This record gives sequence, structure tokens and C-alpha cells, in this order.
Amino acid sequence: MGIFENILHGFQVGLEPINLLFCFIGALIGTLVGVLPGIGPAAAIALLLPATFKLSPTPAIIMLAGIYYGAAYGGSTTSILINIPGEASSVVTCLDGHKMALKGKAGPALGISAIGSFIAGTLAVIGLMIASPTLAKVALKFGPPEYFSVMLVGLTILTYLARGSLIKALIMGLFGLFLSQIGIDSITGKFRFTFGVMRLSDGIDLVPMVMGLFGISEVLLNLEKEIKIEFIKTKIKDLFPNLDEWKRSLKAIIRGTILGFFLGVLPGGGAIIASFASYGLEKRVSRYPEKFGTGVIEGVAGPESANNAASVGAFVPLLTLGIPSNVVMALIFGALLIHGIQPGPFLISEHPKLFWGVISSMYIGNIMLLILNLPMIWIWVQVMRVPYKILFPLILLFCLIGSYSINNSIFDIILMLFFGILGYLFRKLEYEPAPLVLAFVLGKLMEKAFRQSLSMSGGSFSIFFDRPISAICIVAALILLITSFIFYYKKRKPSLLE
Amino acid sequence: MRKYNLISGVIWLILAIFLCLESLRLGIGKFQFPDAGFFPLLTAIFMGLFSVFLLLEATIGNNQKKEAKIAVWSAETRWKKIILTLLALVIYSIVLEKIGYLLSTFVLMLFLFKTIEPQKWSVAVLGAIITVLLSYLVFNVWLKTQFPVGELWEYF
Repeated sequence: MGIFENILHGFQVGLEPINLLFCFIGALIGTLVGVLPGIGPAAAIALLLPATFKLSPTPAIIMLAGIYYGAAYGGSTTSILINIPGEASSVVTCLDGHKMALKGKAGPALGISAIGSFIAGTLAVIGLMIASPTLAKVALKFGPPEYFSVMLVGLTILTYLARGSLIKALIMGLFGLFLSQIGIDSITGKFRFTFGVMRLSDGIDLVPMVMGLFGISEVLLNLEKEIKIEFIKTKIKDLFPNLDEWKRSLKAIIRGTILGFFLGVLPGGGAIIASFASYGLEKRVSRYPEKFGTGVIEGVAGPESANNAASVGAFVPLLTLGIPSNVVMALIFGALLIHGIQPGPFLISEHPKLFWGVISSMYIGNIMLLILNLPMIWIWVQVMRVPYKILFPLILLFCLIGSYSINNSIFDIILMLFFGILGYLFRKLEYEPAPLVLAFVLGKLMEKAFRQSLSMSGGSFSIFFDRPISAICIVAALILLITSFIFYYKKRKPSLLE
Repeated sequence: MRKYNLISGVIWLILAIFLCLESLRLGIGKFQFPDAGFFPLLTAIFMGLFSVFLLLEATIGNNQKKEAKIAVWSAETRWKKIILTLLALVIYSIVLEKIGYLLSTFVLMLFLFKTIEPQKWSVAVLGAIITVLLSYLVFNVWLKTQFPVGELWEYF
């Protein structure tokens, strides 16, 4: 089938009533978790994962994808109106978005954020459509050494981009690898690190871990101090930007889309990095960089477009290589496996209905999100007024239900609480949980690929350097690691020499 | 922060040593046929290496003075609320299968609404009832998640 037939087939699937319904549910929940501080897309997807077990795979993945890209839309609303990012990828929108709101320009800020997200989301879907089949063909040539090396690059990039300490990010990644090794070794059948606990023989489930690290720990952090939210008092009007604002935003949207998409595709990249990178780029190319941070519309248009494009771009490595590039993708990876679908180069040819159906649903979802986030913005403004003291028991209950319903087991709740406490401590001590989760998901695949590679080569490590794709990836990982160490210690140098 | 970096560095180092020993016990095999302990051993070696880096970072150089000033927990931290919430969740996980989803969740919600961030009794009770019933309808009835009915009720 040609690409147009595939798209047409995709729309036939995407427009089926059941898929439309779940696309809408995903977009709605995504916007909701974006608007509400305290619960992010990772925790929301983890919660709804068990609920998708009884669905067929296409509507299930359509809904989970909708939550992910929907959250990028909703997150900007709180950033602009109350200066609290609903999502980590909307942190940078606070800088100029909220300042615009304070100047009485909340309408155009919200408008350009939603329209920019829509344009970026739609263009990124086209990118996904073009890039995925091509990359899948390349990936067919991948063997265990290539898979190991690509995953290694993904983990290295994630630690490279860590906001805090590089050492701590690396330790988190290694801790995630260790956690992935718990359970029965798939090759030798030996029990590893189970300490006699039979429930650990199947390993640790991803859902209780994510719920704990991202859901429970967030609540505990928010309970530490009283949250006071101050709403702006001006009316939200003129959601559609004027001609001058359009002129200034359009280029920022295009730049943000391209940058965001490529950063999303990169294993280890994602919406958060894309939004920050786009803000930096806009500041650099602007004729008035000094005005950034005072309410410049490009400072909203660029990052908001970038985070949406990145959300879509992140699907490329997952659907073509079977490598999740961030925590949310890791959960969708898990969802695909639960439904008996192996993400990777064969996904497009073996499950065209799912692949093209999910892609077409992203177009449809973007239109739904535009309607949800512009004409219906007043609903989300009211949702934001729900006080945290009402919200946090609900978040806790969702986490409890989400963890329990995986295996109908109390053990998973206990596991979630353990990771909740651990996540709280990690965040307090500035250890980022994202490398841990990604390493945990990639760990089993990495180990398998590593051991298979060594068996193939008769125990020689040269196999990783003899094959060009693998060699490039290993060298890239090494360069990234070395340069990140150099930058890291250079940054610290003045204080070390004091 | 420096103090906590030191403590966490030591914990990571102990974990790395433990993992090394455990990996060796599992057996590392040969390069050609790596055994169950091979990959964990590599993980443990790197973990140990980076934990030493973390310890060195926290002890060598004057950066530690700057780090020492960063407070991890402030005096305003509402410890009582955090501990009570965690305690409530632990108790909930213990009694859930014994007294069932409806009752245990109602009590948990009531506690969270009333005690952690205090509200009027009417709001707390109503909030707890609505939450329990809605979650039960959505997850148990609609999505067919099997919530525990409660072992205790079998005796009545």
C-alpha cells in the first residue's frame, strides 16, 4: 500500500466511533492532568493502563497517546493564568505567558499556545508519518549489538540532559538497571535479588513504580507546604491573536515545531527539553532578547509548539525501533506488550491498523484539543479553582486503585508506597527519577541484547565496534559522556579552585 | 545538601558492594556465555565508581561550603501531614482485603479530607461518599476491576 492508501486506511480506523470516543477521552484526560498540578501524564497513563486491558489495542493506545499529547496542551493554561506549570514541559511558558496575563493579555497567550500546539502537533504527525516507515526499514538491519548501542545512547542522552548533578543522574540510571534485574533471569532461570520474596520472581511492575515515583512523591512534596494559588483578576478575552502577534509567533511556531520534533525523536529527549531549547533559540534569534521574560509572545509560541511536536516525535523510536525515549513512552511500550504487540520495526507491517489508526487519531485528537482548549477554556479555568486539599486525596486514591488493579494484589500497593517514599527522598535530594524509570524499562532489553551480542561474537567486545551503526552509537555515547563530564566539572571549577 | 550527598553516597556504595557480592554468588560465567551475575556485576561496578565520585564531590573542594548552605528540609516542612498520610496509606493497604474496598476507602477518604487538610464535617463526609461510590462505579462496575469485598463480611 502507498502512503496515501495507508493514511486513508488510518482515517477509516481513527474515525470508527469507538476510536473517536477513546481519542476524546484521552484528549480530555490529557488536558485535565495538564491543568491540574500534582498529577502528570506518566501517573495518569500508569493509572489507566489496567483499564485498557479489556479494550482492543487500537483504542487503548489511541487513548494513552491522547493523554500524552493532551497534557502538553493543558499544561500551558496553568502556567499562563496562575504561574504554576501543570506540566514540567510548560515550566518555561510561565516566564512570558504569565507576564502576558499580568499585562491583560491572557487571551492571546492562551490562544497562541493552543494554536501553536495545534500547528506543531499536526506538522509533527506528518513528520511521524514520513519518518517512521523509513526508520523501520533501517531498523530491520539491526541486530542485538545495534539495539544495545542505541539503547545505551538513549540512556546517555537522558543523563546528559539531566538538570541537576550528572553523577546523580548516572547513579539513578544504574539503580534503574539494577531494579530491572530483579526476578528470574530469562536465560539461566536463576532467581536474582528476590531475597526469597516469591512476588518478586516476576520482577517489579512498572505501574506501581511510576505511580509511586511520580504520583505519591508529588503529593508528599505538595503536602510539605501550604499551596496558595493566586488567580489573575483580568478577564480572558481576545483569544485569537492580532495580526502583529501572529507575525511574531508564526516563525517561532515553525522553529519550535522542527526543533521539538527532532528532540522528541532523540532517545532520551522529550517535551521538557524541547520547550527549554526552543525558548533559548527564540531568545537567541530575537531582535529584542532583553525583553524575554517580560511577556513576549514568541516566548510562549515557540516552547508550546516545541513541547507538542516533541510529544509526537517521541513515538518515532518507540514505533520503529521498539525503544521508548521517555517515561511516558515506556508506559505505552508496556501497554503494547500487554496487548501482545512487540513494538519495533515489524510493528508497521504486522499491525498496520494500529499504527495508521493511532497516527490518524493524532490529527483528530489535535482538532479535539483545539476545541477543548480555546472555546472551552472557561471550563478549565474553573477546574483550576478546585483546591488542592480536595484534589490530593483523589490523586492518592487513583494511585492506590491503579496499583492494585494490575494484579489485584496488595503487594503492588506496598511496592508503590515504597517507591513513593523513595521518590520523595530522591526529589528532595535532587536525584531525578526519569533516568531510573527509563533504565528500568530498557534494562531487560539491554541485558538481553548485550548477552546475545557476546554469544554471537564468541565473547569478543569488538562486535560492538565492528558493526558501523553500533560503533557510531557507542562512540556517540562515549563522546556524550566525556563531554558532559567536562562541562559538568568546568561548571563547578570556580568553586573547586576557590 | 552536602551532608545528604555524603549519606546518599555511602548508601549507594554499600548497595554497589552488596550487588557485586551477590553477582559473584550468582556466577558471572564467561564472556562467551555470560551468566546471571555478569550484567549485574557491571552495573554494580559502575554504581560503585559513581558513588565514590559523589563522595569525593561532597568532600573535596570548597563547593561543599555552597552546597552545605542549601537546606533540604525547611523549618516550615509539615512533617506531621506527610507522616500521617503515609501511615494512613500503610494501614489502608493492610485492611483493604480484610474489610473490603467500600468501607476501607470511605474511612481513608474521610481521614484525608478531615485530618490532613481539615474541612467541614459535611464536606468531608460528602466528599468521601461521592469519591468511594464514583470510583466503585467507574472501576469496579464499568471497568471490571475486582475490588476486594472484605474477608470479614464472610462471617456475617
